Amino acid sequence: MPSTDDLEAAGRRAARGPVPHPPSIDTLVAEVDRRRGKRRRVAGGVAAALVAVVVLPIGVAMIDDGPAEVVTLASDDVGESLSGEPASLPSQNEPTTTSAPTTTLVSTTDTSPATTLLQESSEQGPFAGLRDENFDLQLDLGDESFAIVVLHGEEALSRANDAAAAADETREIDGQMVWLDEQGDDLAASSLLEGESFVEVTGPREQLERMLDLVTEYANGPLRFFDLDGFGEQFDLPDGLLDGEGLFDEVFPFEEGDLPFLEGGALDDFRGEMKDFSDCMEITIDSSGATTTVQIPDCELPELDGLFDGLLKDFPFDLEGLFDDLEGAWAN
Amino acid sequence: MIEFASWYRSEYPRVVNALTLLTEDSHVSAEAASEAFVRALAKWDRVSKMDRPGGWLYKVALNDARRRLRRASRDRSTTAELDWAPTTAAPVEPDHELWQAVSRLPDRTRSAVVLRYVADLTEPAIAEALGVQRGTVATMLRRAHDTLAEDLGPTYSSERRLFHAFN
Repeated sequence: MPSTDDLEAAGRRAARGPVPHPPSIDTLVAEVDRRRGKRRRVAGGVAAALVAVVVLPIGVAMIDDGPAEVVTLASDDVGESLSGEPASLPSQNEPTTTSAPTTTLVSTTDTSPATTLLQESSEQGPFAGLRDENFDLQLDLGDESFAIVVLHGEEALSRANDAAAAADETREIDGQMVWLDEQGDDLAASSLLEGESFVEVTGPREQLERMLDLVTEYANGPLRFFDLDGFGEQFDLPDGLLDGEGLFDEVFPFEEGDLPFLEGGALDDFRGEMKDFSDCMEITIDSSGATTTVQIPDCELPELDGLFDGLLKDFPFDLEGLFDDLEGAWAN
Repeated sequence: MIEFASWYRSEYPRVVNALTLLTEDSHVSAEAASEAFVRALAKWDRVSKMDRPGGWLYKVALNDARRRLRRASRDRSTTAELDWAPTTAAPVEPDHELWQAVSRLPDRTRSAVVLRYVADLTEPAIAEALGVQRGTVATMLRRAHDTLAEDLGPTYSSERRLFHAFN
């Protein structure tokens, strides 16, 4: 019978066995740099998606409800929705009740961090202001800023004519004509929606191109992970930022006290990783001036493809494929 | 705090060989080991301060290897006509018989044995790598010894001493 000494000696011999030439340190460093760059691009892309489906409607709702003080959406609140609670983000497609009081997405008088995202449904839907109010919104994403202008009626038609005349490029996205106007390092993308509403988004060219690519990709079908309705739907809030409720229900079943995929102490590591993500969601909105300013801090997303190491065992969902899709959509 | 470059150079062959014993696929093992070290480097500030960086490293490497094997299995199922076969690099004599017996152990027990004797991890580090309690590791190793003794028979050690005397 083998003794412990036998096993130790055999183990030492096996450990010294020949192996393929290992990658050099420089190769590893280059790979780490490449991934960090990709993560930043992914983070930028996700931030752009946040602009479209989270921040913009919130800002609009605030304007719709009158001037407000600075409001911070605490990461804890966002974490709740990420961790399996029903998403607080409503859809215009959701059934509405005609007897319900007016909706407020963000309480305009409450300056506490525990902001209520959604209280009740509305007769016209929570984002009715998007359709009938002009507004001017500035979004600060880390070091980058976006300006979003929405106009209606005659003013919209006039601006649309100007935009069409000034366009360097015209693109059709989801059946909607979009005019692109290069402005130095920035790009202005504008469109006339439903023949009466003019929307213009101006921001860093690279980010905006990515955002348009996302919407274009979505319009073409393959990127169903993001349930965006696309540029052509005037940034209507979709059924959720991500088609992620089901995903997060599966991945983060914390509330149910049932953690079938979790093993050992990996949960703490996982929570540490997710903290980085929730830091990205610290959103500050200031609509006290003529232009509403929304700030999203610069941050890095957690390393998505390594996020679940040690956590998931025989997890049936193809996370890698999902992340490949996402990163492929943003990275190039 | 340990230094990454020296840790990488000293541990890489050990990680690849340990994984190869577990996966029987040297390509997957080398790729999974490289992936684990890339991730370790990316998080070196944190990993270098861990009590058991080896446990973390093997956890990442094992998960990655498992993922690659699953993916390869999926690919094989869709391209069965390719007659794919894994590259096996099991140790040869003088330990072939022993590792053959180890390969017949249940998956998790085999992992514990390889991590203990090839990866040279402590029981707490093995527990971390496998995501089980430390006591479970001790139990698995004890059972592994019993099973190997039964499988290889009472003459194994004396035969090995004889082998070494002539080699």
